[in-house]
Amino acid sequence: MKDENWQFWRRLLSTAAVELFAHYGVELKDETQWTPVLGSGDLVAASVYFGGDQIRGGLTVCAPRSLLSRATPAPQQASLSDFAREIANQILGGLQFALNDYDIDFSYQFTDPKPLPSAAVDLSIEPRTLVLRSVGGEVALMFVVASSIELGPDSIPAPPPRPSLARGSLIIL
Amino acid sequence: MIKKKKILVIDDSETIRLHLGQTLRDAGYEVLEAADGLMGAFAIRERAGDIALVICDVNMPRLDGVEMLEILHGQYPKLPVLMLTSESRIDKVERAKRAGAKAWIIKPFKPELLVEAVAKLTA
Repeated sequence: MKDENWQFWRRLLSTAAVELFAHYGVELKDETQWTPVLGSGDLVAASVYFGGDQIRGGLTVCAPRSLLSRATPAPQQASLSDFAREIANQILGGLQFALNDYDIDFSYQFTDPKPLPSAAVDLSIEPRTLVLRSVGGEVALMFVVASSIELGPDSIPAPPPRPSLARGSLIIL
Repeated sequence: MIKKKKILVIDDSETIRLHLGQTLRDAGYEVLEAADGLMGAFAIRERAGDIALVICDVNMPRLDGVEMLEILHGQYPKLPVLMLTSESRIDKVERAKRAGAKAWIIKPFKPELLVEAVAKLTA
């Protein structure tokens, strides 16, 4: 992934993760001037995959067991790896929501995603990692994406933006 | 003794099933669970007359929530369904609406909002 593309994804991932963890009572900070120490301790990880006409990839969330244990809304007996996967799913949901503005969509994948068209411009499967910090430890998001479109910090939303739904509110159909 | 209304929760995440189960039981409902659309479809076929509301995720392995509704809606048109999901694509929402879904909440959700929605849909 090119650096300029990563900056685009990094911003979306960071926003989605910080907002989501805040919902679960964990304040995450995206601080660039600091060295991650993730790797020690008892960690839990889970991955989810996505694919669409223009992009496909995967997201792995890795966090300390103690942090997830404090954040989970489920009773004690629930599996923390399941909660990590649900966190990854909901971050992907945040990404999907943000990408509405760029007229890009994808679906969640439970089987091997379809290959992208041969015109793909960024097929380097080079994962990037975003590490966010909290009092209870670090949360790492490992992200890999292949796309057939250029997305960088200067990418602007497609005009006019498609109608989107409000997250977390009740929508009567 | 007042008979509790039964809510069927269909979600592949154990965390969500347990969280919803606890929230709904605390609010006075009885809760049934299914771990994907296929299991959900079986549960609805077996107990449709008994269920007051279905709360259903969209993205699940084997059979997703919208596909499940498309299969079942013709048979159980009066069964209210609330979609609770990370999915926000308008085309999915419209498909779910055509298949009979009555409401949609994008995760993460606040328990009090969910209980309020359940009360409205089961009134």
